[in-house]
This record gives sequence, structure tokens and C-alpha cells, in this order.
Amino acid sequence: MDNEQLWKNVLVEIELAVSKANFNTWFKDTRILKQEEGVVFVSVPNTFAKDWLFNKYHKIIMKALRNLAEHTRALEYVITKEEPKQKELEPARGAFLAGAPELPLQDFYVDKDNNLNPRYTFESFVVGPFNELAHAAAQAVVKKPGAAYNPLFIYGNTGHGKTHLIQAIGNYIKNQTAGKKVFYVTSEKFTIDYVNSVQANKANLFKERYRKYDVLIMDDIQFFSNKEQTQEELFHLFNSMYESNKQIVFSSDKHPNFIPNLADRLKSRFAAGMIVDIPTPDRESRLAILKTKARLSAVSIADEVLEHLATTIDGNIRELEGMLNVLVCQSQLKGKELGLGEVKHLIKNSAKPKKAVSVKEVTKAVASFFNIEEEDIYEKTRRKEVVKPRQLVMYILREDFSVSYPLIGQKLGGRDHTTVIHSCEKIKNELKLNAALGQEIDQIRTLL
Amino acid sequence: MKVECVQNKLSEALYQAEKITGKNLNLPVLSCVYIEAKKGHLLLRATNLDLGFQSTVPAKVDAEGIVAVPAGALSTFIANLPREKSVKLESSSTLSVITHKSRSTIKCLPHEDFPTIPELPKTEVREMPAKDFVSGLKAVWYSSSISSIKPELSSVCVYPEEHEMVFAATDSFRLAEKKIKTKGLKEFERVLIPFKNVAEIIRVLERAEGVVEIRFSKHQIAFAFDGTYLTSRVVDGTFPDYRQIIPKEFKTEAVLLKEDLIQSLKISTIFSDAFNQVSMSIAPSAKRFSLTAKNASLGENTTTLDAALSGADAEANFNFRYIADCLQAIGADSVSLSFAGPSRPVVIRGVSDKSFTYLVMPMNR
Repeated sequence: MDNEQLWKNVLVEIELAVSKANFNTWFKDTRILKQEEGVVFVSVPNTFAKDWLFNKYHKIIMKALRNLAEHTRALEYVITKEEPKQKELEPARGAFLAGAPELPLQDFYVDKDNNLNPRYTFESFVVGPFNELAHAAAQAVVKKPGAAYNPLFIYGNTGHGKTHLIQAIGNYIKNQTAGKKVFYVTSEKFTIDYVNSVQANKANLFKERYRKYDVLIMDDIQFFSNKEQTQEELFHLFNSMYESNKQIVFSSDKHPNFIPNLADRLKSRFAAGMIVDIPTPDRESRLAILKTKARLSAVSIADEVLEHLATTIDGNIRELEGMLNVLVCQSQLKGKELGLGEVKHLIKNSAKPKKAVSVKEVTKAVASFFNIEEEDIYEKTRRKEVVKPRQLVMYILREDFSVSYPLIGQKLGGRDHTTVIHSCEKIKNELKLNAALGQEIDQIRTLL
Repeated sequence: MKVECVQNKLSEALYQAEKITGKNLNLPVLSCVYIEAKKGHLLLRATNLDLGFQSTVPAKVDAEGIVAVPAGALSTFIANLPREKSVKLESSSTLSVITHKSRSTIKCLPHEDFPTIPELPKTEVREMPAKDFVSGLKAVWYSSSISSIKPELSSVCVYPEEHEMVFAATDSFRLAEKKIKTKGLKEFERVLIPFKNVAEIIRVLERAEGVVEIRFSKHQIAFAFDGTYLTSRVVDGTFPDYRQIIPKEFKTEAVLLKEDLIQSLKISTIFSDAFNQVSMSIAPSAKRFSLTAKNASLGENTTTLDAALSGADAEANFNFRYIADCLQAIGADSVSLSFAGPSRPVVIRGVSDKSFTYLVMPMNR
């Protein structure tokens, strides 16, 4: 028996037991919200009804429920928001009478209580091979907040969907479990809050405020680097929340071990739960994302156009979305669907050009990253601290900029092309074993 | 039940209670006031299932008891009794009201069906001077939307900001915001009070002297002072982010006496059309501020007002009612009207009074 049917039958029994006046007043707008492990949640319109049902009719309702559904253990009354009245024609009439255009009022973009943007949900999150692990971890967290993976640490480059995923966790928990206090905060906001509270001599209020949340979601925590006092505060907050099994979710653009100047005690705590990476989406995932977004925009875009977009713009989902918006806007402007030729023309300027980087620049970036002299890389020295950077320069030139092996050798102090091949192979093999090296390369890439 | 109490105290409490009774046809007992005699006082209760009211009247209780009596009849009756010091109430199945010179009986309804008033826990308690809260509500509540389509607009939004309490209301054609400096603002919650309950809240709180205790829960707000307790439903929703639409730069400004404006708007009432439209013409170049109202079937009127003007010339049409509404909330003698350009809201403020801001959209005909 589904909830609706069950409640209907319960109401029939109750109607016999109470007077008509009371039945119409108190039971009219009630329904079963959900059943969970023997607890039936009944939706009531207001506090008056909640109090009165509980004080006066609790036994009768309970009895009727038990008769029909034996497993019922307890009964809870939940006040739910009244549905807005039927769409009346009134707004148009009101505007006509007032004769004035309305004030351009806008809703708050985010919910003031928890900072969550309701737009970010699991439903609008596109899962592909690149992010399925992160998605699965998030799903595990929302099923058992505080128990499954605590803390959950999600990292990945900008525009890969970290914020979407962690806000979706918050929105899901908020909507599923009434009464759980969810709070989303960026590390920057947290820092400002903390500094302000210290200045106003209200550090205690700050602690209290954050400790009362059941789920704390903190975005972009790489900005905590170098902020020792805030890190310490976070450390204490983390401990107190962790001990009381409250879920904590973090996001960052790097693995915690590579966030510079982050206290070791924090790093080890982040590692205690689950650390997942959202890598760059592959072409298929990019296509899937584009298709979903295109559907939401309600403008039809040919598949070949989407495929072209997915191929030409790589990596960043935010850029994909931006490009899609341009297309939607253009096709609305022209009032027709855009052809592939037009699209190619449109995105010509926006697609990130392959950067032409000189060998010298790469060498310079790598040298500065490892803190060695640029000249050393060109010289014929086999000192250990120079060999690795030199190999990395070769690898990056080959992989990212497709420079030929002989040219790389020639530019880097007249080396044989086989030396270059060997170096690239060596780095490739090492990458498989050593994740830290991959991180280093990524960081160097961002410097270029 | 057998009690004796001071007549005007009872009359006062009944008057308050009667306004809050419900006209619920399903449950006739809601049109009653619930009277309970207990240990030295009478407890009065009334509710329409949206608001709940409770008040105590000191009384000499000879026998305890409970009755539910039709509130309208009892209240009018007690109010119209000749002024006497005290009145006696006795009940069995009816309520007998005995004074020095009269004796009457009123039929009662079964009190068992009378609902309880939700009592909010004292955990989330704030205090503030009642008159501050009332004046904040009074300054803005007329701007709320009457339509029930958007519950967040048919309510008054109250929230703290630094050392001030902010009250705001809008029906999307005009907007009023009042800031009140007040004491004892700890972490006051942001709350939306339903517009249709505001009138009753104002009436009840106006009787309070000194501070009123305000309690919150997720779905209710409650006010308590000297034995009186009033609780209202709150709207579950988010008030729009209205601050961003208040223009910051203006092209034209006019400062004039409030009394002059009220007078000329009264004249406009006579001449305006079915849309309550008045045209405002501000010409700093010609040092002229005038109001024109036209009605095809009656005639037209143009009134020129003395005003200090600055900026570019501007013209705009308004619903005069929207402008007249806000003037009672302005304490200053002079008001300023600031125009940000065509089809942008005009901002009305009291001169040298930053606490009140009012926005009206011009009409586009």
C-alpha cells in the first residue's frame, strides 16, 4: 500500500471516531510525507494543527495506522510549506490596475541560511567516466552523512565540477533530512569571518556558530595556505565535528599534500577520509555534458555542432558552457539553428589557441620551479638535481608541444635524439609509479 | 466557575481576544473566547489558527472552571455595560454575567474542542522595546502585497543589521524599508511575518509598555509581555534581494514640504482617472514642480508646488495612492523625491532622515 492509499484508509477510520467539524478542520490538509524504518511522517499545515493532533488525536491516528500497517512504530508531525494558491489571473490584473511596471525584484541567488545555491543538484550533474568515482563517493556520503567517508576531499582543476558536486551534496542532505543544518562556505569567507570575529573579540561566538552545523562544506581550501591562525581554527573545528560524527566536505584545486604551507596535522586529517580527484573530462564526457546543457537551454543545436565543440574545446567545463551560451544567444538572435560552418567561425576566436611556447620559456619555467640555474639545463652535467628537470623539459616539450625529438636534442645543448627519447620514456614510466611527479608536471604546466 | 474581576480590565482583554477569533465555519468553537478561571486570574484565549492570543486578567476566583463563549457577543456586551468597578462571571452550561444592576446569561460551546495555542520554547528569546517594533511594522506594512500568490511578498520582512532592526515590505510596485536603532539586538533571526497578521500584531503590541519578549521557532514567532502572549505563523520563504534595485545615483532631485505634497495629492484624488494617475513634472531649469491629474469625464487640475530642485528636467506618472501611502511614515517636515531616470523607481525619503526609504515605480502611460 502506498502512502497516499494508506493515509486515505487511516482518514476513513478517523472520520468515524471524531466529529465532522474537527475532522474537517484538522485532517483536511494532512498527508503522509514518508515512512522510514517504522516512523511515519505526517505533513500538517501549521503549528496549531501539529500541537492539536499531537495532544488530542495522537492515539487515534496511531491506532488506525497500526491496524493498517503493523510495522508502524512511531508517528511524527512535520510542518510543510503550504502550496501557493492556484495560479490566478491576478498578477496580470494587478499590474494592469497599478499601471506600472513591476520593480525588477530578484530572489536571492543563494539561500541565506546555508549559502547553498539551489541550482546545483545531483540531477543536473553529468556523470562520465572521469568523475564517476567522485560522484560515487558523494552518493555514499549523502546516504550516510558522517559515517561513510569523513571527511570527503574532492580536488581537481578549475571548471571540473567540484563546486557543483559538493553543493549537490549539501542540497541533497538539506532536502532529504529536515532539521540537518547544512552550511556551505568558501575558505575565503571562513577566513574573513574568523578574522572579523577575533577583531570583535567574539571568537567564541564564531566557534559556537560553526560547531552547530551537521554538515559543513568548505570550498577552495587551497587558499588556506600561509594562513596559520585560520588553519589552527579549522583544525579545532575539524576535530570537534569529526568527533561528533558530523560530515565535512572539502574541495581544493590540488591534492592536500601539494597545498603549500598547509599544516601537516591538517593534511593527515584530510587523508583520513576519502580523497578523490576529478580529472579532465574526456571527449565523450564533454559531449555528454554539452548535450545535457543544450537540452536545458531549450534551443536545438545539431549533434555535429556539439561534437565539434567537444573536440575543439578541451578540459574546462566552464568554458564549454560559456561557448554553448554564445551559440544559444547567437541562434536566438538570428532566429534559426546555426550550421557547422557558422559555429566554426564563431568559436574561432574563443577556442583557446594552442600556445606557442619557446624551448627557452619551458626551460626557464622548469628551472625556476626546481630552483636551479637555467644554464645548468643546457650544460653537459649529470648532477642529479639537474638531470630530472632536464628530462622534464624534454618530456613537456614532446608531450605538450609536439616538438620533434631531434629538435629538442639540438635546442638543449646539442644532445642526440635517442637521449631525448630515453628521457621521455623514463618520465612516462615514472609517472605510472609516482603520482607526485604528475602533480609537479601539472604545476609546471600552469606556469607556462 | 465563579469569579469576580475588574470590569475594564476584562473588557480590554476581551476586545483584544475578539479580534483574533476565527470565522471558521468548520469549527464554530473558534469564534469563541476560551476563558479559564484558575488561581487568582482568568486566562483568555482566542485563535483563528493563524494567530493565537492569550491574556490574563487578575480575578477573585471562588470556583475554578473553563468555558468557551461566543467572543463577539461577550465582548460587545461587556464593553457596553454601564461603567462599574467589577463584574461577576458564573458558569454551568451557560455563562452568567452579573453586575450591580444586571444579570445575563450567554450560551457556551463545548470547550474541549478549543485548540491549544502553540507555546514557543523560551530557548530562543530576544527582547526589544515594543514601540520600536510597532513603529517599524507601521512604517512599511502597507506596502505588502494583498495577493496570496507570492507569500514572501504578502509579508513584512524583519531582520537585524548591525545596530539596527530593518523592516521591509514590497508588492513589487513599490517598496518600503525602515531601519530602527534599537537595544538588545542579539542574534535576531530573519523572519517574514504574514501581512494579514501584522495589523493584529500592531494592535496587541501597542498596548505593551516597555520591552516585549520575542520568541522564534522555524514556523512561528511569538510576542510576550505582562501576561499577554501572541503567536503568529511565519512565512517560509525568502524575501527578494531588494537592496540591489534601490538606485544609488540620481538625475533629478526635488525637496518639498510634506504638508504641501499631501494637500496637492488630495486635490489630485478628485481629478485623477480610474488608474489613480498623476503626472509629476519637475523642471529645475524653470524652477517649477507641478502635479497634474486628468479625468476625461470631469476635467483636469495642475498644482504647482514650492520646491528646491536640482538636476535635469524630468517627467513621470504615478499612482498617487502609492505616494500618499508612504507620507505618514515620514517624520520629517520635508521630503525629497529623487529620480534616477525614466522607467526607474523614484526614491522618496524624509529630508535628513536616512532611516526610511520608499521606492515607487512610475506608470508607463
